[in-house]
Amino acid sequence: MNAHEFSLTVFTISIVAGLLGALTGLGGGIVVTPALTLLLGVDMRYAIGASLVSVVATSSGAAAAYVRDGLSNIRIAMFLELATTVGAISGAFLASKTPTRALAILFGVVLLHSAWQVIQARAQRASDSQPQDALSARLRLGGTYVLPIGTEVYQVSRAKAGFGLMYVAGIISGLLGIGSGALKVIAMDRIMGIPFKVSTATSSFMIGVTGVASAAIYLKRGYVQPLIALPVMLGVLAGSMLGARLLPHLPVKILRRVFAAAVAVIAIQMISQGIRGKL
Amino acid sequence: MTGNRLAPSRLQTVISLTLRSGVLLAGSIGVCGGSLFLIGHGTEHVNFGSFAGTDSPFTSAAKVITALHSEDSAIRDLAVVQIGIFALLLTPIVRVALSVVGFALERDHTYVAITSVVLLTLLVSVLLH
Repeated sequence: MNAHEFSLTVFTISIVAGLLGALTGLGGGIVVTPALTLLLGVDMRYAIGASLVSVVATSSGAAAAYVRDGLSNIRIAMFLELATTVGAISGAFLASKTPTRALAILFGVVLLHSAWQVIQARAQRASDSQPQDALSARLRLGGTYVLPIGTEVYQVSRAKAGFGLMYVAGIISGLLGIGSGALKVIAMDRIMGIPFKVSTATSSFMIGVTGVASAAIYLKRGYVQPLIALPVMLGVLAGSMLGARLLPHLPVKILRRVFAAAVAVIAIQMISQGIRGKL
Repeated sequence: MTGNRLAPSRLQTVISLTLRSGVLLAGSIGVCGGSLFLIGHGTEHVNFGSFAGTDSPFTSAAKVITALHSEDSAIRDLAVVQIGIFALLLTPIVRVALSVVGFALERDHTYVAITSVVLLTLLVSVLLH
């Protein structure tokens, strides 16, 4: 393949990945790595580096709007970033000690779990009536956000448990070069009892900072190849912006499940390639 | 539409603007370098099936500046792209630094401390070998 064909193909794949990521809510980075490795035979380390760059771009782009609209809770984000950044650095170090095959299998498992979460479609929220905990009160983590019907006040509970899970989310983000937004939302929405909209907006805001903590290490190790990272970044950004525009006009419930099923197929492919040592 | 929105605080406006301009700047620099590369070297064969690791000329700011002065125009163009990527990665770091200032202006000492530790962690990750 020559450079023209390569960058055009990568760009196109990344638009689709960004679109899929936005429509499923999984984020573009998680789809782009298997696409590059499985379809184009790109070394997984380059794919991870490029994916992480696109994750930082998408997060910054989306968070700009969320922050302006007051949906992201900056206090919660800063507090939890203590955990995710340290986790991300640990993850990036672990990645260099982990064989690509094992990374591929782990990637597949995380992808499969995320797809399953989408298919299940968030039935229960356990934490609606949890009381505010002492740490959350001390850090004044609660806040308000605006709904069409008025302003809603919310409190935060189980800050320590959420903080712990955020460290894990950081490790996985650093290890696999993804935003691990799904895990961040679980920590905030299910454990800390933060309203879903605030959780997703705050997660998206945090992903950029978490991503940079490991991207800086990846960059020094040569994972960030400009000729791959650029079309991936532009493509995923364009795809996810398009996805966000289309979202209100599409039958989301059905689409989400169809796409999640597609992601599950990719995940299984990734696991089987990892087991057979083809990556 | 915006009638029932809370007015964003100064900090929110500044952070939002930083994020947006960081992405725009990174994208523009990247597109410039990428176009230059494709014009000059678009028909050359590329293969990323094997990993070059730290042999890459783009793994640090110092190496990228050297690459900008390379004899090889392909290396020069890709160094421009990498500068765009540096700009992108700097965006969240600037965002955290601005948050430190924002909390300091609000005299919120707890959050000045928390945010400074996050900033320090990011700097460690950038400077670590």
